[in-house]
Amino acid sequence: MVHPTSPELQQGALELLILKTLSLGPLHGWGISKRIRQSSRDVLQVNQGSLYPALYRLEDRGWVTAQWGISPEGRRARFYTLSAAGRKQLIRETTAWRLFSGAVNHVLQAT
Amino acid sequence: MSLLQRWRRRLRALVRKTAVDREMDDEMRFHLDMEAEEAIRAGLAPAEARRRAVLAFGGVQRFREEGREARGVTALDDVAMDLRYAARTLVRSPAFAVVAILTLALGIGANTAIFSVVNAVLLRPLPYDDPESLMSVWDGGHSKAEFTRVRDQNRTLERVAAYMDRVGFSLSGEGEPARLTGAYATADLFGVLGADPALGRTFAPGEDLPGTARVVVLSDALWRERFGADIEIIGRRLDLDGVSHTVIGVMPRDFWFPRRETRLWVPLQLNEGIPGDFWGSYGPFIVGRVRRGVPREQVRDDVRAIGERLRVENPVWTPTDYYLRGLDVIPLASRIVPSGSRRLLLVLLGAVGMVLLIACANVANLLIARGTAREREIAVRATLGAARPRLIRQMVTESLALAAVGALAGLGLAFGGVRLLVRLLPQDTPRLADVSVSGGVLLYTAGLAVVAGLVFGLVPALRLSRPVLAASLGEGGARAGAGIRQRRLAGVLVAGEIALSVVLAVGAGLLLRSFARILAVDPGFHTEQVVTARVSPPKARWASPEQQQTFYRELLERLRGSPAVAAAGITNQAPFEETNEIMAMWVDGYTTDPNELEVMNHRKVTPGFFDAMGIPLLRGRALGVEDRANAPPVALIDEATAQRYWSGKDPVGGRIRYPWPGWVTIVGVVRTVKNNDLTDQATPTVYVPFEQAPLGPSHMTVVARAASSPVGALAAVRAAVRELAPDVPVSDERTMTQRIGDSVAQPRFASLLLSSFGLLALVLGAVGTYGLIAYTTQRRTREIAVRMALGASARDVVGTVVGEGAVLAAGGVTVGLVMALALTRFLRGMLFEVSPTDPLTFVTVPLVLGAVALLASYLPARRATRVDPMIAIRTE
Repeated sequence: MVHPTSPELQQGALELLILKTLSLGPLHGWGISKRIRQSSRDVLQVNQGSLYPALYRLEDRGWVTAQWGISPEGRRARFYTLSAAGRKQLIRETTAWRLFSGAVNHVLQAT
Repeated sequence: MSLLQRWRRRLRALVRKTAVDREMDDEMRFHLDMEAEEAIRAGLAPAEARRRAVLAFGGVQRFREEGREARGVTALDDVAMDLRYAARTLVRSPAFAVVAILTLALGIGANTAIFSVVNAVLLRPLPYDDPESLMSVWDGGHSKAEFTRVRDQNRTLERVAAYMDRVGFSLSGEGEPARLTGAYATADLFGVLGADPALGRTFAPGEDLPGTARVVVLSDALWRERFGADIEIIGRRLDLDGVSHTVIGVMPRDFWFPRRETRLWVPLQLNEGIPGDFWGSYGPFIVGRVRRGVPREQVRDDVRAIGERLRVENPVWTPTDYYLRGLDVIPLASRIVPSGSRRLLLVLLGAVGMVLLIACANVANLLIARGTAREREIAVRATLGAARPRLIRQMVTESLALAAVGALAGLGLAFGGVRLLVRLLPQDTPRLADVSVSGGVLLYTAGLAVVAGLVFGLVPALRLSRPVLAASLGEGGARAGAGIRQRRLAGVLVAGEIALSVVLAVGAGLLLRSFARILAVDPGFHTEQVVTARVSPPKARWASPEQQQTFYRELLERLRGSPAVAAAGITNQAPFEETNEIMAMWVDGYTTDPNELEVMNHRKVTPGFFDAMGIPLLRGRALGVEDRANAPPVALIDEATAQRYWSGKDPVGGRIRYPWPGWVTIVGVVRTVKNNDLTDQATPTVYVPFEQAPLGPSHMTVVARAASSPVGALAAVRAAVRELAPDVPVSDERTMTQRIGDSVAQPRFASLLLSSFGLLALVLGAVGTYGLIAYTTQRRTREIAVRMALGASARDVVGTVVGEGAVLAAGGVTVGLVMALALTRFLRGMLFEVSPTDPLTFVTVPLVLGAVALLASYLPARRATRVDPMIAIRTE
């Protein structure tokens, strides 16, 4: 359900948002997509088709760990937690992103 | 997360595929449920909510695929798929698979077998504590004085001991009398090696000084074989050479020093009170543990300084400048494994490596040939979107699988091969009993398989994956030109095979010629019908010269009475026994300096010795019964002695003497015989009558010429000794033919093995050439058919094809000869009267190999001319 006017998230950006979201605490996949939508004030819609592959990729790299647990609604859900390596990666990527977006803004304003 | 962990998880994901899939399904279901519930809360009907949720999620199958890829499962999946694909293609062309696997199995199996031996003999560390710091100090035999001074005065060694190898002991008392190989050792030997006994204790400090109780430490083998692993053995008394020794300890099963056959250790007596023995008699080797961090050169300088002081201190004789020449400190491992065995094994390892290279080249060629036939398949796959790296990966997987199967088959060959090698190897090769296909060897084989798989797989894969779409997909005309690159590569590979075959064949040829030269040497005595056996009457009971003389005289009388024996004699040393007794002699009219006496082989013999051995008298008179102890001392010399010291003049009537006073008159000259080895330089030898000779060890060798069968003669010797003295051991019973056979074990082994490898290389090379020519000719069938239809004769066609083979052969042979010229110098020490650049070998080998290569290309050429042109042109 990609919002017509909302940009499709690039892979790198999606991973950065997932890491950021998980830095606030462990969460399941659906929770992550919902939290991203809310905190971007509905601008960013996360396509589930790319959310889960991204999560598995992060898991494969060791930046997040996953465990089955019980959700507040009393259901069995897979919870993702940010690992120490993931925390470092978040800092690295946040810095890189700020640098990148700052530069892009600069270019856009210059014209 | 480490790479290892990541791959372990991926592997788990692959193996437990369904479990992981189920996990993903569960997660997806949870997501859909939550999405739907939210929609219901927003007021949608449950069915509509569900539909929207699924719609929002996208394709379920796509989710699974992408999930799996993200988890890194696909990479492994690909490998599994490639393997399945490889298995299918191999099964589909069984002839190719069988030939390739067999070739690799031969190459890898031979390498594994040789490496098993190299690993056990050369690479595995000695079974002592920190073996790298153990050195053979002042390598060579030494006097007890030299050892004592090195022990007390050095500044670079932690601990020092001396040992004397291969000492024969007669064990008598209970059961069959036995002759055992043991060693003398100073008290600290076991301390230096860092070896603890399995039972009891080893030598205590001071146990090597005179006046202490006689003790002995047993090896595990002796303890088990002779004493039935009796736990109560400590404190038992053993009769060694007629002297009672107390057993104080038993060493563990895996301990040996300095060789596997050493059965017991007895203290070496360091008796400073007998200057002649302490300063003058040589034998023990010195082993020391170097202090941590001290380089070998420093130890050598340290020992040299001690040596300089010893030259001055020596009260018995004055060492010359020669004394310290060649003084060296070498690793104990090099002392225990002699350089001859080392060189032999390294040469074989190199040779067998070349065989594997040839095998790899052959398989690479097979792959190229088959690959060209698969060009269309590969082109189709490339067109359908397979990336080049993906294609290469698939082809390399295929060759690695091939190598793995080849290695497994090779391992089977290696198990048999190792057993064969151990039987064929010279029996005096050290650590032979340790040779096995061990874990380290398996690792080596696995590594070999991977390297081989990459070597023969990568080159064809890189070649074949290169896009040649138009040519391959298009039909007909373009096809004749396709594969020219491949053919050129295959040609280079085949020429390389021929070159390596030339190197191996030249090496084999040189060794064979050398072996033939050795066998052609005349030892100087009769070898057929002559038997020898060592008789060891314990010295304690036959102590005086008279007692010993009586014993041997009676023994000889009994032998002469036996119908199985035609002639018999006694000597302290028969030719081709492992030891050699030498003596420093003063030669009248030649020697001038008492410190520079002449070293000669010293033989004590009874008159019958020469008759039994068939050594002819050339001048003067033979020894006789009249040369008794109280008669004037006489001696015979051999031609070598006569030549060296009497050059041309008649030595009969000349005089020599021992380092002590008393002239010995030379009464005759006998023919020179080979003493230890057929390749020996003749060393001057002096024969003195047994009854006049200085008293030495009591054991002697009986030499007998058999009346009919050698076996009967040996039985007669055993029987005669048993009747005379049942507790005297008879050992080392062998015919002279066996002795000489054993002495050439190493050159025989070397030439046999290198010839086998050479032959294997030749066959592989011929198969490679044949395969390549047959393949190119087949691809040119149409061209040949056209030419023949246009009037070319069969002879023209054969000439063209064989010419192609000749170019390959000429190139390969030339390169091979250059390589051989550079490499055969490593064989120098193994060659006898044959130069490493022996012209005959260097001419014959290329001729033979060239002929084989031409034949290998002639066969397919002839077949090509028999094809009916019409059929050939139509089938294209």
